[in-house]
Amino acid sequence: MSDTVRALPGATPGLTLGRPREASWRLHVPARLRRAIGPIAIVVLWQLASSTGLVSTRVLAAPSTVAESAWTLLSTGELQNHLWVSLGRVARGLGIGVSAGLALALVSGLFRWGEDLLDPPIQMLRTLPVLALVPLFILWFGIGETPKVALVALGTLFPVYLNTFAGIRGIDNKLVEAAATISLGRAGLIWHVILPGALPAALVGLRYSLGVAWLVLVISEQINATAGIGYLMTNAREFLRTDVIVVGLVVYGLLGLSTDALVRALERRVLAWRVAFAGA
Amino acid sequence: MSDAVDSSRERSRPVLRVRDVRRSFGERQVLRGVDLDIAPGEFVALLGASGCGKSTFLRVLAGLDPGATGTLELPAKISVVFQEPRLFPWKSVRQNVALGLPYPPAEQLRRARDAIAEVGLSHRAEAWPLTLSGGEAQRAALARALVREPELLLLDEPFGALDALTRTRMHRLLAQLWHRHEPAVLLVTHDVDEALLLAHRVIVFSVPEAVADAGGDQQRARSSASSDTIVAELRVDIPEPRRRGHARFEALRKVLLGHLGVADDDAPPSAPFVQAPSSREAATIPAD
Repeated sequence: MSDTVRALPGATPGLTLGRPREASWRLHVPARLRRAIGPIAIVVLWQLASSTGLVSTRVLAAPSTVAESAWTLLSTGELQNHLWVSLGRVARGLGIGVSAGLALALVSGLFRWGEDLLDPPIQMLRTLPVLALVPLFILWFGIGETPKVALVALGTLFPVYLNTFAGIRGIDNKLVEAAATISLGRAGLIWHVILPGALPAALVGLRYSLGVAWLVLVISEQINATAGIGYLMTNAREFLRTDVIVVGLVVYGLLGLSTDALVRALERRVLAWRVAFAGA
Repeated sequence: MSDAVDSSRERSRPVLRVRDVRRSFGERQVLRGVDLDIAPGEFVALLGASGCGKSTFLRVLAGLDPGATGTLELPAKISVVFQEPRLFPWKSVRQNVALGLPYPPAEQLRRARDAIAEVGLSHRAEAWPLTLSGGEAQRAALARALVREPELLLLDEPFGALDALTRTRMHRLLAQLWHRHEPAVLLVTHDVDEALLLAHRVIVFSVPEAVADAGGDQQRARSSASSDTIVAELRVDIPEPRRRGHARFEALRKVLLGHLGVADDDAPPSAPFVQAPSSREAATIPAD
């Protein structure tokens, strides 16, 4: 308790007003470092487990081995090639899925006839497990790039649709009325009010979609692939190279994290106007 | 306002002319045949208790209520200011004010800046609406309404959500802006003092009779030539500068409060008026 604060006579002992309890460690450690503490701890524990023999190297390679293999793959350029292929598939699938999801959500959200027409079939399709469609897609689209991209597209469509639809329908009608009173017209209403108003929800849908995209890709790349991180992992499995498998997993993890971080950065820029609860 | 100005206004074509505006919500007839003319540049205040339909009437004029009937002759350029600022939170103040203006961007910007300066918000022109205080946000809403150079300005209890001090400042601001731009104004308010400080003419709406009077009385109401929504209309002939305490001000105040059903001693200055509850009022659901 600082010298400038004294308890009033008769005050409950122990109930003093001082400086608020500071989470001083929070003040001194930057956010990025804070968020890295968890993952770093996991790696440290893992290395300990492997080095002490607690975890056999046949079950799971040590982080040191994994790092070595990663380095080898990087220097030969193999990792980059596969990474590029995987990224390309996700990008194409996302591009289709997100655009379709947005377009459908706009039609559904803006027009009641749109909702009546589109929403029931979309809700039906949504409950189908996307990954169970793999054999069907292979049948339809062959074993090339198309089924993989199509699966990603299908998986990413629904989160974007649902969240954007909710965002559109969640817009305060008072703002819609205000737009009418400044003669904004339908196009102006959509561009200046509906889309920006639905954006926070749409971005949540996008983050969800990203998670689904990587998941769907992992699975579809393990079937009939000749390139990509998933292919790398399947190949490694043939030769019991757990270290390469872990490299693949780590790469997927990093890809997921970094794309999510991209969307978060986008959110911070595009949603700077919000004055919302930012955490204690 | 002088008589000469009044009569010249009356001679010119009215900016707003509505006849027989009716609006029912189910069984409840909230607007029972309202007729109103407003001359160019005239400031009209619409007073009434909760549930009398004054906000409903304003919304009909603003084009926000398609369920009303009647003849509406309205000007092309109408601006509305609501009780909430209703600024788009994802646009800065300047963007909000400039939105929808039919000019090229450079001209839009210039006019928006001028309007923002007029309401004294230049220092907040690039701020996000959610960071504005209530008074600042309403001033931005006023700027947005006036930048369009409306012929008719509709105000729906624009200062109702503000504290008394800010309200006083806003009255002054509104008077200034109106003197400069001279739109016709319809101000819906429950505040008698606000009406007397600002308006040329005050109209008082009555609360519709309770549902219990439906049936035979409805027939009578429809066949009657004049509506019973408007219960009083008076010209505010208080000389400028208008001030509370002035004899004429207090006299008109008493008259208006009487029409609203409040004894003068019950209502302190500038308090939102409180209607003595009766069993009838308790049965009606406020339409506002």
